[in-house]
Amino acid sequence: MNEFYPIDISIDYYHNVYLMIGEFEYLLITAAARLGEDAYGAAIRREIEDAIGKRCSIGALYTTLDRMESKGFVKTWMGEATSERGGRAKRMVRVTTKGMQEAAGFYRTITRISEGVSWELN
Amino acid sequence: MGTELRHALSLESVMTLWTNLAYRALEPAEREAVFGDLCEIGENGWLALRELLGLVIRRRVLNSSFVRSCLTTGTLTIFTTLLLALLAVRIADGSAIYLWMWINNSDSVILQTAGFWNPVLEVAPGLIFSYIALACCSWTCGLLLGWSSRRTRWLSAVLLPATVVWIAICGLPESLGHILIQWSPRDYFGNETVFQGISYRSVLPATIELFLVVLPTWWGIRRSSTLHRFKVSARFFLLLLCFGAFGFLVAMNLIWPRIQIVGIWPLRYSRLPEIAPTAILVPIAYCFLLVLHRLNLRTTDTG
Repeated sequence: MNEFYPIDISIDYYHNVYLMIGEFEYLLITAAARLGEDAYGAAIRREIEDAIGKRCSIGALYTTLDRMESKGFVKTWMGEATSERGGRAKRMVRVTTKGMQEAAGFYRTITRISEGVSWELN
Repeated sequence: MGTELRHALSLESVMTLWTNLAYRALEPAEREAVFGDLCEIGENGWLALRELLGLVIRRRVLNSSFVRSCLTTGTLTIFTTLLLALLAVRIADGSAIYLWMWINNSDSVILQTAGFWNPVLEVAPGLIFSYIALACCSWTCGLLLGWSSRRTRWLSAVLLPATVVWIAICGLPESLGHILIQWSPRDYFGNETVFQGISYRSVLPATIELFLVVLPTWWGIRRSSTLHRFKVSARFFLLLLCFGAFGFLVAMNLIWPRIQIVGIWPLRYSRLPEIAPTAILVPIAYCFLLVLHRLNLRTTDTG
């Protein structure tokens, strides 16, 4: 870092510095926050699929959940079993305060950078 | 109709088999949650299998430590196999000339002369010793490969014969000549008659690679799972010997040209006799430690 270039170029900004959560992580946190106490694997998946209009694979969902849990953005635990699930338990999800802050930061950034930009196609 | 039904049933059984395999690859808690989700969503058949495989692949393949360990094991295995195959081809070519003289050029009259047996008795022990040394070297490398990563032993076991087959089909890569001192194209000059037939040119090296490289290395990889039985000090001693033997093997092939003493004989033509003592030492030490371990167990049982 120097007076002419006020950014520490010794740091690789694209790979080594954590900027903010990814878009899929944001979708997952938002879906979990919307579902509240009913947030679990299949329900979050439904929310995401409804929002993006595409399929969301279980692999992407569960590996992202693991990653986010290791970062402390969500907390998961095994819930109760229900008959509609063939007597199998749910993986319940709760967004932590840190997760909420990260999601809010992502939303602020996207809103700020989108100000004055129109994506309407002529 | 019957054929279609049988076809459908066989497809279903294949799918069930794969679903069960994917199911087993997941952690118990995750199995519960994932199968519950699939049941709730109502996905079954190929769609469910696709979802499951997607998760398993992400878990297993994209797990960075697993990928790292696969890459390390793969590189080590290929490199080690190249070194061992190089030695095997050298030994095969060296012994082919003697074998040709003894087997293809003898008859009942020559067999009765001392002039035939004297060179045989002089050379044969050296050849047998080099075979034993190569097998021991391979076993040591297998032990190290197996010990270096328990999770990826299967990869070593698969890559090892694959590399040997690749070398047998395509030959040793010429680029090895830049880094390996012992590498040079196979030279039949003066011995063309010996290597005219496929038996000494291809079959003998392949046989030596199979019996003195692939099988002993496999055995070494297998035995590496028994290392944990030894006491820490014994294991440390054995691994030290292994690293010594492996280091010597690598040094003989890689380091000498780098320190510019390639022209000094006999270092330039380092062959198995130099490698043999360290290679043989490891299996001997292993057997000794195994006997000690069993004696200890017996004493404890009797006590």
